[in-house]
Amino acid sequence: MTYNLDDMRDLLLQVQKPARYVGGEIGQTVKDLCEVDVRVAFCFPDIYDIGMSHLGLRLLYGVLNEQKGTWCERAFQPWTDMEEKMREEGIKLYTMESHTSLDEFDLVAFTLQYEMCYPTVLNMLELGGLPLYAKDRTGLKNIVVGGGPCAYNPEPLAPFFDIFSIGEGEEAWPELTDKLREARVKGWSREEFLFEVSKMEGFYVPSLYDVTYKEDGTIGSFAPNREGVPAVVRKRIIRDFDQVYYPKTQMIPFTEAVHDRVTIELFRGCIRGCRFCQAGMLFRPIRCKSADTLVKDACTLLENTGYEQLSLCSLSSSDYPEIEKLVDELIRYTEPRGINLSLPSLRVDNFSKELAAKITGVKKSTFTFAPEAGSQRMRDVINKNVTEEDIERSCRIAFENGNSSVKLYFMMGLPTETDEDLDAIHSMADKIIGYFYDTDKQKRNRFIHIAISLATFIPKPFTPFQWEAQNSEEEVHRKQNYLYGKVAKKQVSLSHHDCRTSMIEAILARGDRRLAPVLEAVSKSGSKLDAWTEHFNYERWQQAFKAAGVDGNFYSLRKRDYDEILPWDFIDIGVTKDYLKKEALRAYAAETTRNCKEGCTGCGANAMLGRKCDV
Amino acid sequence: MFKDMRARFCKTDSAIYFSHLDLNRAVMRALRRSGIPFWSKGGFSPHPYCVFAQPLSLGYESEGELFDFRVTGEFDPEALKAAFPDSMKILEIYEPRDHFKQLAWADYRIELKTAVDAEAVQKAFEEPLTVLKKTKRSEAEVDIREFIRSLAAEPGGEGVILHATLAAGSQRSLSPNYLAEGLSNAGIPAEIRRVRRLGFLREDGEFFR
Repeated sequence: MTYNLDDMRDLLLQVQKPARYVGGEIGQTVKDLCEVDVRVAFCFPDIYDIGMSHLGLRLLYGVLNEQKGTWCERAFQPWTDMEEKMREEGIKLYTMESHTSLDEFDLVAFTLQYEMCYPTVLNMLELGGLPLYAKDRTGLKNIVVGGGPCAYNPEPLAPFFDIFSIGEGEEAWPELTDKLREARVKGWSREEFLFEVSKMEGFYVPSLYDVTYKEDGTIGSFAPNREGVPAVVRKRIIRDFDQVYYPKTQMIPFTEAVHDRVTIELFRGCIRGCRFCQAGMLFRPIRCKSADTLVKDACTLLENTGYEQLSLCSLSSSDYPEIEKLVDELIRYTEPRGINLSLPSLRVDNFSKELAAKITGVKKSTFTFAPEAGSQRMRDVINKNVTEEDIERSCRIAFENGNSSVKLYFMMGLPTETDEDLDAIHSMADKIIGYFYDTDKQKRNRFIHIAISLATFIPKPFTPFQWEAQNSEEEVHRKQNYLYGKVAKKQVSLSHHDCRTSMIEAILARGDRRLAPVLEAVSKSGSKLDAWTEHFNYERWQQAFKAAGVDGNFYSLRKRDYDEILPWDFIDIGVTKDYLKKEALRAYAAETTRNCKEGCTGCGANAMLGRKCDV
Repeated sequence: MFKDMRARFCKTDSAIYFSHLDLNRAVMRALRRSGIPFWSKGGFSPHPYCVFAQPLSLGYESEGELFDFRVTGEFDPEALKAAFPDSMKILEIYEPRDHFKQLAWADYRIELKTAVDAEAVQKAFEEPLTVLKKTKRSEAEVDIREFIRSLAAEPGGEGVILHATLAAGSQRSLSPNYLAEGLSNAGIPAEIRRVRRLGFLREDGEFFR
């Protein structure tokens, strides 16, 4: 079904921010259907404002639309007021570009950024008019494909998806659309097509694998059910990252997106190896773009879009080898044009005075650090190689530059954590206040404010902590209360993340196929947009677990043996399981591991590259 | 130092769903994107100077929207036109004659859904049509006819089409929504289906330019 915007006028004028639902932005791609043979709906399982901020969407949208014959369009989860109206009027979820319902598309692609979006994915499939389960979809259309970081443990979503794309998509996705063309020419059935896709590097077809379980509930076997299907799925990476496709323009939302700016991507991977961090392992090996390429990309994008803000994207900007040169050259362009340059993800241990001066010269903002843990011992356990001295030095630089607001991110419930480690969170805040009052009065601001943000640790697949148990809800509450009880100074404020969301996230993150009925039940009971506090309903989740007869604690609160078959073991991310285990053992000994710049630590990821990482 | 310029543009299709804030941002970005030598006010984050004649309610179409901008040198009007989407097409770029302060009236084409015929609607405007008019500070009972310069009703659409010139100045203005309200209050149930702003006039009735 293709909808006419004008027919939906009355409906659109009754909802908030109707600009979210009409498309027509500068930079969107519209193609002549006579010249299109593969139609892709790129679905972002959150609202427009969030989805339009996402770099991955821009990259794949661009790469697919560059391909002749492919037309990639966008779809987002509507806000609840719009969804209600759509359901009342019988309007299916449609794309921004041509206003066509999802069930008309050949490929329906979902980017899975965060576990809590799973109910939204199911809701969008249903609202788009597609059968929920892969087995109920037929023919060579409506092929539902998942990608993004959560696809590295796709198992909870397995029965709903036809294909998962594992790893980076810029090269893999055009290959997938070409495979569909081949299938049509050769007259393959849907099953034959999926079988052929399963043999391509970086693609996982869940229906071609069977899982058995032991009596204790752990996995007994996980293997292909058809000859020729690989037992191990290797993630895809872009080997020549400097030369990879990067869009020349960006879609410009009319209604404001959360991150409404030009973004350039400095590098993929991370040299740090923090033991709780999934992205740090998933996106290895480390590959950088040259500063020249980045400056060129940035100028092209700024000129073509008219944006007034430029942001650098990576897991840790200050680890970029050419950071000084890059910032210098970018400022030379942005400053005379009144463009704001923002540099997120800086590290406290290599943050230089020069860099600070450069950035504050552009715009003063809150100084945000993520020590993650209060005590040095705890930071050594998680391999967050930041010392007290680093924090002191960075804070002093920040205060001398006039910053007066510091935001500190911590995690609670880390492996081996004791109350002494929690005490250290407060003493760190006290010390930072001390550094502030030490600073020359002429240079520093008059007031200081420290905002401490507490998150709950969630063990994630493909990290050294993938075998760990999460703290129980009671334990997390106890620790939160303990910390709140210690806030005494008026300059310090404490906030925390709802730990119930973290509980569900932990279950889904390390879940297996047996969670699918839970997801179906929770979605049927109306869950969606669970990442929004106002929409997260814990009772609904509890009921869904009960109805499906699944014990969530089995996935979150249970410590695994090293020889247990984990649901995601069949995926090869480059970093070896042996390395993760070695790192886990070092964590218990509170032994740190050097960063990749100081010397290769042998994680195994560079084997995918066939050369050394760019560090 | 700079030269004042004015652009007349339309707001149709998907652009009718943009709020005034969205529109403001879109125009500033278009000015940057066009590469023309726009004038900035300066300040910490200098942005292109641009001022709008009158905000347009969400959902209304227009073919007579205006914004003023300033240039510091020669520029190619085509470059500016190219930076706008079709739904916000620039129709004309010129050096302004009138100041926005002189803007007093706006012409509208208003589609009304009503069971009553055009003649009866026209006749209704011969008697006082009171509505509760809300302003930022207060609300008061007013006769909307005080805000109407001219009005003609004819059959069309889902009932009646009004061609109306309504107050649109900074001191006094009337949203077309009040016409339906006024009629309904006078016992003629009417619903606004579609509004299109056609252009602006000065106090003396001259075309605003």
